[in-house]
Amino acid sequence: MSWVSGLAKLRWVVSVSPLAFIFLSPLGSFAVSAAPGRGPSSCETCHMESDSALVESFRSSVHATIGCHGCHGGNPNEPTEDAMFAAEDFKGKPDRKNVPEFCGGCHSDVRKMNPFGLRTDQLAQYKTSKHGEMLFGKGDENVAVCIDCHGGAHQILRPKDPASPVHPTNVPATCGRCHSDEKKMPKYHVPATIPGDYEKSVHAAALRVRKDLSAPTCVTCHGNHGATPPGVRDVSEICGRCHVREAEAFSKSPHASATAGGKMKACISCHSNHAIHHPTDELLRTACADCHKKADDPALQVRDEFLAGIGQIRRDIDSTRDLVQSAAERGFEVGEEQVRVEEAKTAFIALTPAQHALNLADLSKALRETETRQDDIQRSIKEKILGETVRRMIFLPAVIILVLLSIAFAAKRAEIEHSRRGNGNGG
Amino acid sequence: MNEKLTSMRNSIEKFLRARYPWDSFKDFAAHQAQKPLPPHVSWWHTFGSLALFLLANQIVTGLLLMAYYRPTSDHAFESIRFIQTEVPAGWLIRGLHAWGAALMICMLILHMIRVFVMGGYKKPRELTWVTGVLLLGVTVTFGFTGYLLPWNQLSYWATTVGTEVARAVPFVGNDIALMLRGGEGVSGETLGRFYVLHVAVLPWAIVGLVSIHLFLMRLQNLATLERVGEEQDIPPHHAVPFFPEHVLKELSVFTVFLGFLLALVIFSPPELGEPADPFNTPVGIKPEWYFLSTYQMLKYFPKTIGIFTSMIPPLILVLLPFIDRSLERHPKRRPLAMTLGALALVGALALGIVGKISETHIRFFGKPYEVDLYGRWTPEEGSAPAADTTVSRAENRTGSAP
Repeated sequence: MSWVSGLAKLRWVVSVSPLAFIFLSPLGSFAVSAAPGRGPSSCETCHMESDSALVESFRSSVHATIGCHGCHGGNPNEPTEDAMFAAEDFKGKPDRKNVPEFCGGCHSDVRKMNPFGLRTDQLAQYKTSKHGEMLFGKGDENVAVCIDCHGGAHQILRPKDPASPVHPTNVPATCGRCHSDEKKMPKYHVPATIPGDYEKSVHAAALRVRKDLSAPTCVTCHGNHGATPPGVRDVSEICGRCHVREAEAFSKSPHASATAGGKMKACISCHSNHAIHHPTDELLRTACADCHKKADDPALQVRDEFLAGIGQIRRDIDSTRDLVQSAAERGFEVGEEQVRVEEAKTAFIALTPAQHALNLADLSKALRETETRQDDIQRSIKEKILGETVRRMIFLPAVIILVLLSIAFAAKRAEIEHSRRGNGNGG
Repeated sequence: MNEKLTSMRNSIEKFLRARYPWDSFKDFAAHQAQKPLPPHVSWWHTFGSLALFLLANQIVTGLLLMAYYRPTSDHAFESIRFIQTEVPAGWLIRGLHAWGAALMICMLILHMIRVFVMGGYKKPRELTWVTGVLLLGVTVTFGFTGYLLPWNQLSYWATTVGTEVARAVPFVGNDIALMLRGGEGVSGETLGRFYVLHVAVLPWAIVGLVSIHLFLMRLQNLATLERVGEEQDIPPHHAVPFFPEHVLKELSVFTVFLGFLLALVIFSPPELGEPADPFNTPVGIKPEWYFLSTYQMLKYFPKTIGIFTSMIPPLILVLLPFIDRSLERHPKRRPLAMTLGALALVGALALGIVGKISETHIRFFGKPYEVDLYGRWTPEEGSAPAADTTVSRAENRTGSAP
């Protein structure tokens, strides 16, 4: 019987081996990957002939899993045109003005969005945006609708995808497609220079140079679906979302009441809005004078005191750092002093937001602290240098004493030896 | 005042005499102090006592350092920094200890050369020589264990390379390295082991060996330059009394030597370096100077042969009195021994110098040269690829740290 069972095994192996070949070979693995649970729908089959690029891009989009009928309705299993025309729920291609509602059909549905963890207030937000107001209120179809920003109706990618137009690195270009258009923008009284201004800002530098994806782009300040220009009173709130300490200090400054009274535009009065540059002493010097134009304006005295104080602190830190550096080069152990210089730098950086309160008491306190630190560091370094000098000075008399002692010992020994030899010869 | 002191001394002596053989102790001490030394005792005979002074220096400064030193990988470096910068005279104590260690090895080597040249190791003083060689071994081990304690980059990586060498011993090499390190790599465990060796085990060993060495030396007195077995009694008027004549000579040298030691401490203080970083291997790790010749020699041999070859010189040193059995002591009558000794010394110096300059860039008569691992010089231009190749080959041979 054993040969019979052996034959049975052989037959099994022979029958299975072609399958094994297919599945184990690269061809086999392709066959497996090309066998989805759902075959190509009739929509894809027909539209592939008329617009293959559309079908291909849809297949790689985030909506590929819901299929064409997920948005457009119809019967994907019907191979003829009845798939569209005989189906009751067939929606076809929406008009441009209906696109937000079309997308919102799903994206406002909590039941449908919950599994993906997506918000459902996007349509509501859009309706409050300038884009939405123009579209729904004035019927202006030139404004941006969902598909304009998200990469087209059939090519929508996840926002985290670097190829997505709403990925942080692409947002300025996406908004800029319309907002830098010199033909479109004048109609809305919006300057077309804004995207260009943004690219010169510290925010763009953080995004482009430091590759910091948390750096502010257009949507950080204006919102994305509810995009709207912030009102003057909102500016400090919006900037303050990131620049917390600056906003807190600003709220205590005389400029806060000026902003509340509509005499000032909060942060942007000094820093501008889109072309925000790295703040320098020069900004402080010129920005104040833009509003406080009289030469004897007390505000300018405050400015001058700040400029002098900041300059003094900077010079103190630089000179202390140079002192520590030169001591280190001379071989002194200055680890603790280096830490203290870093502390001084950190305190100086912390003074930058505090400046927004325009409180001279804060400045005086910072000046005193820096001065104390500098004195401590200088004293410590001087003590070390003095210690080494003292060591070297003490060494000289010590060596003289030791050499004299050595000579005295040698002389005494010679005397004893001489006396011993004299005694020996005498004996 | 003098009467009072004499009276007090008499009372103390009376007390001791009633309980102990006090007069015998006094006679013994007086005899030792007055012991006549051979007439050829010279300034060269002071190296041994300088080494003894340095041992005392190491013990005293070592005890003071122990008050502040913390033997853990987290605190060792910081405690040394504290000693160096905050503790009153800490810089002096640490400087005396660090330089004292190096000079002690210097003095031991000079003392050993003096004994070799004057044939003092020959019968009947073979065991005095053997204990002397063991003392050198213990002192070098002191140096090796103490070098790790500051826990800085150089000490960490030099110890890594040093303990890695032990792996070359056949069969038990890995176990030896594991035992030395207390783990796969040099870590806080290694520091603990080295510290215990340095402050508890080795001090007993050195004190024991020094006691035996001194006892044997005093028992058999210093060797004369006469042939073995033909040593004459020293005529009383030619003998040099140990005290005060020889002691004065030692004091005279000692005071100058102390000035030299202070100069080193003040003008070339031991560095603190960077804290040990197991993830960052510095370039060109070298051991302390007294290991340089062995370190360089190991590079020329495959691992196992190298480790056995490096054991030959210390073995010859220990067995020297039993190998060289000629009866002559005077160096002029021992030309072969003198020539071989000089060759060995020059060889060790040459290897040490090559070890020191290997893997560095030097200038010779104004021209820059790159010295590779084996001490070969190549002009600076276009020699980088060759150097890279030799380094990788050497790493394979010595099995140095990753």
